[in-house]
Amino acid sequence: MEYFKLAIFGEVGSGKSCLIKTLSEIAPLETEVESSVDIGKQFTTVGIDYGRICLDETVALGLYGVPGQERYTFLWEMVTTSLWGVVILIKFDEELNESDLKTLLHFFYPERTDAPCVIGLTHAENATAEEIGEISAKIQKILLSHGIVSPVLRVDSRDKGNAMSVLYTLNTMTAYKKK
Amino acid sequence: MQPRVLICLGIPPKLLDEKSSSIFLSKVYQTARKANVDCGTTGAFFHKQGQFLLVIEGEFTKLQNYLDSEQLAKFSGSVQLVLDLESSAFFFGSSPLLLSPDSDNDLGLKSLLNAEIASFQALQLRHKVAIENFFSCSELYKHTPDTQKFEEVITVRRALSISDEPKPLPRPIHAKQNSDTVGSLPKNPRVWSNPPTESPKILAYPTPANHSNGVALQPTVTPSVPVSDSAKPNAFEGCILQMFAWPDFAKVEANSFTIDLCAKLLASPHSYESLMLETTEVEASELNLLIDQLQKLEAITITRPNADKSAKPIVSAPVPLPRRKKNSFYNKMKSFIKSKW
Repeated sequence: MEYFKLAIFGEVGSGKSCLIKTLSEIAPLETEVESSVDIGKQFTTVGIDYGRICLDETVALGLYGVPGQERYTFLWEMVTTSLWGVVILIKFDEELNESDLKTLLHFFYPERTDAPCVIGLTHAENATAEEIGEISAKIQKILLSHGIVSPVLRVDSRDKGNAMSVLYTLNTMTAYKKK
Repeated sequence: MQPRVLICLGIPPKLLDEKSSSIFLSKVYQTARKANVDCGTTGAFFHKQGQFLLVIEGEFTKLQNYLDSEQLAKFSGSVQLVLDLESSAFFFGSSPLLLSPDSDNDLGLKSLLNAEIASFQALQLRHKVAIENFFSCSELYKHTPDTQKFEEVITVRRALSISDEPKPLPRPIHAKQNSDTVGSLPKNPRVWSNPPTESPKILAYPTPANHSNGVALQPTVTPSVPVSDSAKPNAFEGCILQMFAWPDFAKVEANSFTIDLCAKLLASPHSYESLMLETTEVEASELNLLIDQLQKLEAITITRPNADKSAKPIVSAPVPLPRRKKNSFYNKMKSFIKSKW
């Protein structure tokens, strides 16, 4: 059985669990509990989310929703083997946490993986093109400083089409990846 | 406190096009990181004459290590530094100027810088370059120098291996002449005397003479393919296209065709003809429109190798999608996406 991993990183409420729910073919394994503090939603993930896509009887893609904060580095280790792709979800409506993003990129690239990376801007349904462009530029600047060339896509985690476009982008990047 | 510097690395596309150096930038970063150099890229943008520029900012001593990194030194013959004189201090060459602890004030920096400039003047290697507009990343970066700052920018060749023997004066980087570092440029690129106010971006290349006389800069536009032409059908015939960064998807629709084209051009340069051959899902006019759009966003580099007969074409044959086994993960994923999307 061939097994690969798609790691989905993001801060609290960035839409990791939702994206996995949208993509997964199995009922996702969630570790959500009621939040004890006000984080803008009732439930939050305390560990990882897990979903799965079976491409056929012999090949599967595991979907791992992992918190993006530095204190969860021990969880990041877990997804580094057989990593097929990385999705980093960033909430548009909150200030970009550059430090966490840099730590995450530094952890994975290039020492641990050469898996393609897609940045997904979530909660950006009402954002204007200028606003999106502005945050994309900030993100691109950080990516560049890590030698990473990745697209920044607007992602609605609830939308199947959007979720598929993330997979499509990763798959296409894999196809043209330099050997 | 260490002074901060801003350095632009100008990398000729021919260097990036070489297979071995196609991952040049990431290698440079890797090397920098291994050397524990904390430097940040403030932006990257495409020089309209075809040079890829990378803007790097960091603390002086750290950048010093970075620029000395083995990886960069390997390519030093082809890499240019563009230095912002207003906020920068630097060293390069065989006898680097090192800042003493008491020199980290403006006066100290300026005198060191002046000494360095003088040495370059002696070597007749001084050029002044003015650059207007940046790739979207750098536009938003507050500390990126604007046109005014760059009017005082000096361009020098890195790692000159300065010898006692003065090197011949390179041709000024002027719109009507090729820079000797940009071999693939046409010998007589089209010059627009009345540039549009918006895109394409304007570059001014004052000669040392007119700059020193205080003559106002005469901006000259030298887009590799003028936008007015690119709107016409077949405008890109014979062109080599390449991308170095993903476009801003707030301005370009992130559909499957765009993603595919970008991934392809990011991986390697393609001739327009090979793209046409490989493109089955859209009409030629749509492909032209997308290329034109990417060009306006400065996300794509378009060169005409045939214009310079001495230059070798970068891609002589269509570069197809890497062949993958039918049962590869890629193909299975592709089928999965197709069935669900």
